[in-house]
Amino acid sequence: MTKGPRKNWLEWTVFAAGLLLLTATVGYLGWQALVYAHQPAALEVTLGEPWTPDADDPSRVVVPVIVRNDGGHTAADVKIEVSLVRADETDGSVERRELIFDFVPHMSSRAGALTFEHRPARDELRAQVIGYLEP
Amino acid sequence: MSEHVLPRPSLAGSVREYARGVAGGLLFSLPLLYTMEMWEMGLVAEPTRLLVGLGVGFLLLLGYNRYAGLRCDASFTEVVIDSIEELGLGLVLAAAILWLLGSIDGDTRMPEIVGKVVIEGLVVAIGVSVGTAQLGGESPGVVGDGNDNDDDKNKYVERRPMSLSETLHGPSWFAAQLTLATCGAVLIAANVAPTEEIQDIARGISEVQQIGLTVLTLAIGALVLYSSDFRGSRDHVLFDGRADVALGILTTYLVSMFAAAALLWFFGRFDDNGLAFCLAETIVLGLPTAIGASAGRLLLQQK
Repeated sequence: MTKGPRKNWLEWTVFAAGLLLLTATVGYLGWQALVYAHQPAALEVTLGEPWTPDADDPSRVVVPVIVRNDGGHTAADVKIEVSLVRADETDGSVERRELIFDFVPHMSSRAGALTFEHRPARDELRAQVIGYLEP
Repeated sequence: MSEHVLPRPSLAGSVREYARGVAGGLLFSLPLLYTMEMWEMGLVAEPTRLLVGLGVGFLLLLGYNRYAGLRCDASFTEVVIDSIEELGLGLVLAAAILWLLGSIDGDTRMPEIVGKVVIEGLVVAIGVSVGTAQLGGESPGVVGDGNDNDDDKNKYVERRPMSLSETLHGPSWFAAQLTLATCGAVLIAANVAPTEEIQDIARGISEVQQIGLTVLTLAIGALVLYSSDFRGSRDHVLFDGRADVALGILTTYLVSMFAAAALLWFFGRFDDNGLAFCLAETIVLGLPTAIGASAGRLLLQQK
């Protein structure tokens, strides 16, 4: 038998689309494997502009938290600490808050928020990643 | 019908085939599309692991399509084409369902999308393949059950009068059964392989329970293949003598353990674990894979 595959245009279209998708996926994964395989997670926290959800209750201030992972591996249980620091306070720290993100995939970011009782000024917030798990 | 070159399949026929594929893809993989561990796998799996998964998944599709697929009489090229179609369809279906379920959205970055879609898409693709071949009705004239080629017809006529043992002992028969047993094992056990429960059970059970599970795993294979008159067991299982029975049970057991270990590795359940714990996990998953490798294998046979 020397005839080619029995296919109509619809099947050829599905095949071509499948082949394209598959090639793109394999290419992307191969590139990722080469570039990112040996880099650990690299986490960075940024804070958004504080805002008050309830105008009548100024003692509840929400601070958006965004954590980015520019590394090559996903980080799990990422624990973030944000503190409100004022120089004139005796121990320096007025409020301390913590936040945990389940997963922060590589080259991705996750967002959350923390609530404070005092309205922080722009330079009064300190944010840091306390730790994370390698899943 | 004795024309030598078959007409191209009709559009309606192809659409029916794809519809069956979509139905099968969802039927067999829906539990996994709704499983959190699978999404987490998509987040944490390294690109190399996903590539290996794609490669092995493609081999499974090739094997299934070759030995039990809708056009398993077809040339190798056609089997490859069918497998690529099914893998593509699986990826697209997985992406669509994951988006509908909110697991991926417009804000999701590329590595996460690719990870989730590849992991889920592999399972969907196997479902698509099985659905296309197994879920079809018998209505005559539907293109795809096209065995009405002269050569095929002769082969078919020749095949029947031969004694069963003569046809059954061939190496190609053995390869076919190994392939289908592996496909069955993966299809059935993939639903539980990624769950936390496998690790939990493996941590909790004693050596005695592990031995008990092993005995049950062996017994399930023996029961399904040799003493339950399971559908297809008369045609696809060797019955001649004790050696055949022992070989059949042992082969099924080996395939089960191998498939269990491969699935567990793929889902990251071996990572950083000691040998004893990995073995316990394999024994725990070995029971589902054994059911797949025996009952699943018989259900997957070419219709």
